Amino acid sequence: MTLLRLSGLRKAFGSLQVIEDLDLTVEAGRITSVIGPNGAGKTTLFNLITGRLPLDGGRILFKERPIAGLSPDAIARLGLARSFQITNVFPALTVLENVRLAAQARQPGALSPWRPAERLVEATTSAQAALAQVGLGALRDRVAHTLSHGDQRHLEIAMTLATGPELLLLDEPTSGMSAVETGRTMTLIGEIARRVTVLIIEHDMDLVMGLSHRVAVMAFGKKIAEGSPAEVARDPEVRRVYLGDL
Amino acid sequence: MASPEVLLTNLLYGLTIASALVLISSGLSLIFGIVGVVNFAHGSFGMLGAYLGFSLVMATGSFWAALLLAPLIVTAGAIVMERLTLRPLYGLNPLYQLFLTFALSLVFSNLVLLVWGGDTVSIPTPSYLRGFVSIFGIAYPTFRLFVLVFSACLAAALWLFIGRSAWGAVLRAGLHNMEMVEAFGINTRALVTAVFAVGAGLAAVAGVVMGAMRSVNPEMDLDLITSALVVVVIGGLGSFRGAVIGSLILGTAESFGAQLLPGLAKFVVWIVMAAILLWRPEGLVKDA
Amino acid sequence: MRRALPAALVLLVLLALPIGAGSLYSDFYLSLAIRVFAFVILLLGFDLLAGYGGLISFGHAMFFGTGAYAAALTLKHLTPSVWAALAVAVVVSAALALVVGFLSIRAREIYFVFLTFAFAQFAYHAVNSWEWAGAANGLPGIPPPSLWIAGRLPVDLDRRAVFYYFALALAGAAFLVARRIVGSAFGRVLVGIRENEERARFLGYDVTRCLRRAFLISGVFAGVGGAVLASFHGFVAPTFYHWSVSGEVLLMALLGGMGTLVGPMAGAAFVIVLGDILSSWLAERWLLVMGLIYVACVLFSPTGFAGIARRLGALRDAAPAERAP
Ligand SMILES: Nc1ncnc2c1ncn2[C@@H]1O[C@H](COP(=O)(O)OP(=O)(O)O)[C@@H](O)[C@H]1O
Ligand SMILES: [Mg+2]
Repeated sequence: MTLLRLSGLRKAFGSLQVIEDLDLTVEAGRITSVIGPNGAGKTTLFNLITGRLPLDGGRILFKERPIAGLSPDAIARLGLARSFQITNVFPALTVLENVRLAAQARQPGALSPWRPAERLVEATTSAQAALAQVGLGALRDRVAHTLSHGDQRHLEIAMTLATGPELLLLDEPTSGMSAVETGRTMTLIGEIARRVTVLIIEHDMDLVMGLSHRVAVMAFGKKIAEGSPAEVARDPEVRRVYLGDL
Repeated sequence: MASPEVLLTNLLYGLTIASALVLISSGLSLIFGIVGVVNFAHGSFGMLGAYLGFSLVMATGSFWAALLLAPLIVTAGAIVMERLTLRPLYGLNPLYQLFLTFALSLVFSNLVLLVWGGDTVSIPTPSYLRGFVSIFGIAYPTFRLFVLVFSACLAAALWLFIGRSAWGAVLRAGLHNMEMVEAFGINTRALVTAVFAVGAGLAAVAGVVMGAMRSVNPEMDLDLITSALVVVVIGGLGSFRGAVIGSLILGTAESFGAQLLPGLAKFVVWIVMAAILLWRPEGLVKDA
Repeated sequence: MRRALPAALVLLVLLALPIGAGSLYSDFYLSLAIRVFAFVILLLGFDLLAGYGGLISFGHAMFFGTGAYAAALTLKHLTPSVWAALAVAVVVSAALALVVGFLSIRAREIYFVFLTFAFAQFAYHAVNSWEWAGAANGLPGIPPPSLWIAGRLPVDLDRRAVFYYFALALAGAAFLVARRIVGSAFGRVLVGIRENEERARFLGYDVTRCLRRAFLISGVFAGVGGAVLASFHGFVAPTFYHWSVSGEVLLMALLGGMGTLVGPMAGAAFVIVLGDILSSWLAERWLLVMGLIYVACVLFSPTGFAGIARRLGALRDAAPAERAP
C-alpha cells in the first residue's frame, strides 16, 4: 500500500528553486530514505509535507488523502509525525513530560480542561514504552535541556514515536552524534521500522544504505535517482554528485 | 463632504501632530530595536519636559530657553535612569523591563503631582508665534505651523543622522544585530545609553511643543505613551521609517477623526491600531 | 505535605478574621480582604493565561470591568440574586473574551500585549461614553445582593461579614478550579505551548484553539472577580476598566511569580495591603513610594516572591534536576 505520494512538488525561496518537480512514494512497512548533500532541499521537503511551509505547486497524498494546505497540527493528527534536524523538544520540561505530551496529543480527552493529565493513563503508558524503546527510561525525571546531545536526539525520536504515527519522518536523526551513538540510533530506527513506516533524510549516504528498502537521491532540489540501495549506489550520476560533494 | 479649506486645515493639523509624534515615538522604537525594551516610561519624559518647560518659561521668561533646557535636564535624568535601573535587566525576559518602566512611570507621574500639583497649566509662547498665518487661503495658527516646521526639521535631521553619519551606521547595525556590533569592538553600552538619552530628549522636546500647543496636565504621560505605542506598533517596532509612517497615519487619523466623527475621537486611535495589527500583526515596516 | 500546614494556617486566619472585626480592629479590614479576594480571582485568571499559556495580557481590566458592569446591571435591573449577577457576568465576559481572544491570538509577545491593551482602552472609552452604563459617572446605588435562590435562601449579603465569607468561598473555589485546570490534560498542553509552541503544533495540538480557550477561561475568571467587587461596593465606574488595573495585575503576578497560582494570589494580597498601609501613612505620596517599591522589587528579585521562596527552598532540598550539570 502506498502511504505517502508526492507528485510534481515545487518550492522556491525568492529566486532560489529549492524543490523542483519532485515525485516520491513511500510504501507502508518499508524504510524509505532520501539522501542528498547539504542544501539539496531535504529539510524543505519535510517542511512541505508537514505543512510548515506552503507549496508552490504539486500534490501530497497521505493515505490517498490530499493534505497540502492543512495546518501542521492537523497533519500530525492524521498520523504523520516528524522529528527535527535541530533538536526541538520542550527544554524546561522533564523527559517523561516531553514524551507524555506527545502521547497525549492523539488521545481522546487530550484537551480536557477538567480531566487530570495523570488520568490519561494510556498516554503515560505509551510515553513510558517509547522512552524504554529509545533507552531513556532511567532518565525520565530529568529536565530535558540537561540531557546530553545524543540523549536529546533520542528524546526527539521518542516524542515522534509516542504520538502513535503511521508514518514517521526523521530529519537526520543522527546529526551531531558520536560514531557509537550513531550506530545505536540506526539499530533503534531499524527496530522502530518494524512497527511504523519510516521516511529518513540523511546527508551521509553510507549510513542509510544498509537499512533502507528504497532510496531516493536529491541534488539541487531535484530527484536524480531512485531505487534499491544497490541500484542507487551504482548510479553514475549519484556517484558524481557525491564525489563532487566530498 | 467637507470643504477644501476644512480638508486642508485638517491635513495641516494632522501633519503637525505627526511631526511631533515622530519625535516622541522614534526614541521608543529605536531603544526597542537595539535592546528589546518597551519603555513604558517614555511618555513620562514628554510630560516631565512639558512641566519643566513651564517652570523654566516662568522663571526665565524665555520660551526658547525652556525649549533648550528642559530637554537637556530630562536627558540627564534619562541617562541616570538607564544606567541605574534598566541596564541590569537587559537580556532578561522583556516583561521585567515592561514592569520596571511601568513602575517608573508611576513614580514620575506622582512626582509631577507632588511638585506641580494636579492642575492643568499652559506654556506661554512668544507673542510673535501667536495669531494666525495665511496658507493657501486658510488661516492656520502660527504656533502650529511652528511646531510642524520645527519638529519636521528635527525629524529630518534625525533621519539624516541615522542614515548618513558614522554613529548612525553603528545604530543601524545595532538594530539589525547587536551582537555583531559588539563583536566589532564597539562599546554597545554607550550606544544604548546614547540612544536612550537622545530618545528621551526628543520626547521632552515634543512634550514642550505639544504642551505649548495644547496644554500640560498630569495625564499627559499616558496620552503620550499611548500615542507613541500606537505609532510604533502600527509602523513596526525598531524601525525609524516605521515610526514616521505610523506617525503620519495616526496624526491624520486623529485630526480627521476629530472632524468627521466627533463623538468617536477617542476611539480613533484604538480602531486604527487594532485594525492595522489585525491585518499585519507585526506592524507595517519590518526593516531597520 | 510540606505545604499543607501553612495553607491550613492561612485558611484558619482567614476564617477567623471577621470575629475580631469591629471590636479588635476596624471593620474596614474585611472590606480590604474582600477586595483582595476579588483580585485573587482576577489574578488566577491572569496566571492561567500568562503564567501557564505564556501570553501576557495588558488588558485584563476589560474583563474585570465587564464582569463588574454585567453584575451591577443585573442587580440593578433584573434581580437581587447574587448568583444571577455572577452568571450574567460569566456569560458576558466570556462573550467578550471570545471576540477579543479570536482577534488577539494571532499576535504574540509584545504585539499581543499591545493588542490586548488596545482593546481594553477601546472598552474603557466605550464605557465612558455609554449613557446606559452611566458614562463617566458609572452606576451608583446598586441594591445589595442576596444569596437568594428561588425564594429559598434570602440571606442578604449587605452585612460585611456575610459578604466576606461569600467572597472567601468564591475565591477558594476559583483557586480549586484553577488548580484543577492547571493539572488537567489541557493545562499540560498550555505549558507545552508556552515552552515550545512549534513543537506542540507538530505534535498535533491546535495551538491557536488552545490559546483561545485559555483566553476565554482567563477572561471569565477576571469577570467573576469584577462581579464580586462590584456587588460588594454597590457601585461601578469606568475606573474598573482603567489601564492601571491591567498594569496592577501584571505587577501583582510578577511580584508573586507567574505560573504558580499561589504566587500571583500572594502578590494581589501584598500589593493591596501594602497600598492601604502606605496610603494611610503617607497620604498622597503613597503611590510614589509604591512605585519605588515596585522598582526595587524588580531590580532585586526579578522572579518575585516565588523566586525568593524557590531560592530558599533550593537551599534546603535542591531538586535533583537542579543539581545536574
Ligand atoms: N526558509 C528559507 N528561506 C530561504 N531559503 C531557505 C529556507 N529554508 C531553506 N532554504 C534554502 O534552501 C536550500 C535547501 O535547504 P534545506 O532544505 O535545509 O537543505 P537540506 O536539508 O537538504 O540540507 C538551502 O540553500 C537553504 O539555504
Ligand atoms: Mg536539512
